[in-house]
Amino acid sequence: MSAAQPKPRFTNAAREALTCYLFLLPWGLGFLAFVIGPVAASFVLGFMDYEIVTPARWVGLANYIELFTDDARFGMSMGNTLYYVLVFVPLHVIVATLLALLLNQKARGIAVYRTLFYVPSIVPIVAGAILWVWILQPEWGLINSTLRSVGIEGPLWLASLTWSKPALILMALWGSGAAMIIVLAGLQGVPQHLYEAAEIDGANRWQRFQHVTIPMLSPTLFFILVLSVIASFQVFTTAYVMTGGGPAESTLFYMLYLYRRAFVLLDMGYAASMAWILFVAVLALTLVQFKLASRWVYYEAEQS
Amino acid sequence: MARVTTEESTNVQAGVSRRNFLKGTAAAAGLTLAACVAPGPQAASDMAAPADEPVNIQIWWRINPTTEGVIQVFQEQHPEITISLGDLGEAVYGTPKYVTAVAAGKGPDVSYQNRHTFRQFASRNLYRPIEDLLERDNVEKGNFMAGPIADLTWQGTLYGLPHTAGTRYFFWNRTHFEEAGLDPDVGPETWDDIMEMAPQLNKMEGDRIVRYGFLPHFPPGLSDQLLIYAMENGGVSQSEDGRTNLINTDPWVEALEWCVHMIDEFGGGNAAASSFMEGFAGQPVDPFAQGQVSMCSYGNWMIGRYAKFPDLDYDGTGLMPVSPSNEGAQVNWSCGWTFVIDPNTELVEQGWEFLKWVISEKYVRAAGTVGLELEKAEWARQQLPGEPIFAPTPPVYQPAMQFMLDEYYSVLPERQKIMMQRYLDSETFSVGCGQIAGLAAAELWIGFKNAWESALTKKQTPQEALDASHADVQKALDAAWENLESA
Repeated sequence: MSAAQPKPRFTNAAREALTCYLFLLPWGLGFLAFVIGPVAASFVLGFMDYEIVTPARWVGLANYIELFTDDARFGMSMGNTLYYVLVFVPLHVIVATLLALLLNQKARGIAVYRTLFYVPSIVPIVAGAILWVWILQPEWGLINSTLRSVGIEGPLWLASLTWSKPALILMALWGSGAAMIIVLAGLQGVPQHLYEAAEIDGANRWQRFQHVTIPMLSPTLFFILVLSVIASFQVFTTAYVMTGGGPAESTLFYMLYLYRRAFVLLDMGYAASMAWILFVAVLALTLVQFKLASRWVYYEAEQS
Repeated sequence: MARVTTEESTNVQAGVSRRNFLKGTAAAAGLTLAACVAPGPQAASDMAAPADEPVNIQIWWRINPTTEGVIQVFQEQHPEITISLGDLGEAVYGTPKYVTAVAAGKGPDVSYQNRHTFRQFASRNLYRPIEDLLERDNVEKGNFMAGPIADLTWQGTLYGLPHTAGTRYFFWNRTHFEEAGLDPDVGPETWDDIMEMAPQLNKMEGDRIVRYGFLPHFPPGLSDQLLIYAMENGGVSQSEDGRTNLINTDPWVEALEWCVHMIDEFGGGNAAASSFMEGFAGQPVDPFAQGQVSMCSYGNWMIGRYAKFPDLDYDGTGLMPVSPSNEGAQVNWSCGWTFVIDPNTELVEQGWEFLKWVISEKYVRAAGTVGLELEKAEWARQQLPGEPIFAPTPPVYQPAMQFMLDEYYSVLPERQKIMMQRYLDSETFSVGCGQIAGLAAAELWIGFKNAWESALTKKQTPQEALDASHADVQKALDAAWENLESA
């Protein structure tokens, strides 16, 4: 009589699941320790007075109350940031789309042009910022020198209360290459037969763009829009490097103010509460964008 | 002609089974996590090195050829100590890298610190008190310049050893003075003198000023110009008890009004003057060095740096020009660099040994030797005329200063020797920046910048701008005292 085959301790499915979780474990531990942990800690810190070098003290909602009732800089920095978001994001989407349309042509050397427009987006941001400080220099910078050669006296750019934010937006638009590549990929994914059908129906160039390109591109544009809004609310590096928040705090963006409270004034509890307000604001705005997306974003799969 | 400069400055391989791979992965993850829990200073000191092996200490300073050179000299003179040199990062108006490292218990054993925010951080226990070490080794406080020692003292306790000091310094271009018919040996002593001289020194091309007699916002990008003008007008930044901020009082408002007036009246207005000054932002050469500004209020460290410009014939004084209401007053403020010991380190003895060395004559000689060699190489690279003479940054420890005077300053060209002496004279009446800034230092320096920019851009009147900055600083000051008293 033969001995009964021993029953395996784990089924194949269980073994596969275990393997999967083992592979995930290093990342999961890192995510818990370095992302979830600090996020949870920052939430708690938002209710504390914590200067890093002295023990944290529970203050309840005091930080949030001070932010909304006794901190003019909170409103001012949020105002500067909203200005940046409202001007930069639409321009960013438009510039990226126009560049993509331009570079979607069948022309000689098109790959070179695409590369040239993409390169600024991979220039390290600090290096780019320093370069733009020189370009925007009012006396002998490239922009004002060019304007002067045609009889126009350029503004003070980074030294001007009025032009400092537009100057930073102009510099940020220079880095629209990454979005341009995504839109270009979207354009090249539009089925050719849709254009042919529209042409047979008598649609002119503009109508084909309006009724074929835009709807088919809308999921891509929506993706860029959402990411741009989130990134714009976190604008920091360019202002930190190029203006330090000046002149007269005209480029003191929300994240720069948060950095100042945290790492210059060592007001970590206050800065943590600022971070959570920004998180909630950006989350709310993103949810609104998703809600509104059904009105203008066309998903072919949903229609079929 | 000899000219002097000064120092500042992975793949699973085919033969590996899945089981073994998983074991390896788990082991690697474990090691990675273990590495994330690296031993802190406490654990580091537990791993005591054998008696005959050198002890390694970490120092955050500036990483440049000069510091690397003098560290090498220190190690040769102290074979029992080796040094890992790290860069301090941003440190003048706050020192975030050091603060966060110390708070995490991972600070360097010794660090360079600026005195702009020293008392604020000393009051929060970011530095180790060194009174016990001074007493044990008979290091006399009286052998240091008084101002820097006062800056580093909080509630009667000394928290660091001052290394260098620097005061404001008023420079003028002798060639421009001669061109304008002014005596090149005599600089302005009052604001009225400046107002009289500035238009004579301005150079116009049509309606455009191409050379400025005097611009208050000098050098480009500095955040604390307002302070010296307010002091020249009798302004003090805080009450004697350090609890009341005073930057919106009359002397401050008048000083800011005067600066705005100077720019509007003799600088062609803020737009033109700012445009001109922005042209030099980020450049290694400032407009005075380029002969495009005739008089400027800057710092004593430029005495040597300006010597690199053969066409620049300049003079200067540490006795700052004062307002008419403050005539006769000797006014200046001083700041500089300091070495401190981490409050958590257990390598105090080695750190203290470095502190004593870096303030001494031995350091001055090392810095002088290393600096001269570097300067000779730079001189040759730039093909500058003559031979360089290198003098290290003036020390704060008097015996080292005497050594500096005998060894280095005695061979300076006559005019620079005079300028160095004027600087040393100004240290005797200068007020230290640590005392000026108090417990809300970081807020104060930001407040200066905000008020300055708001007034110059006409966003606010000088009074409104200073009221706003005062409110910010006073709030921070109240909170600092409250925290201190409740601790």
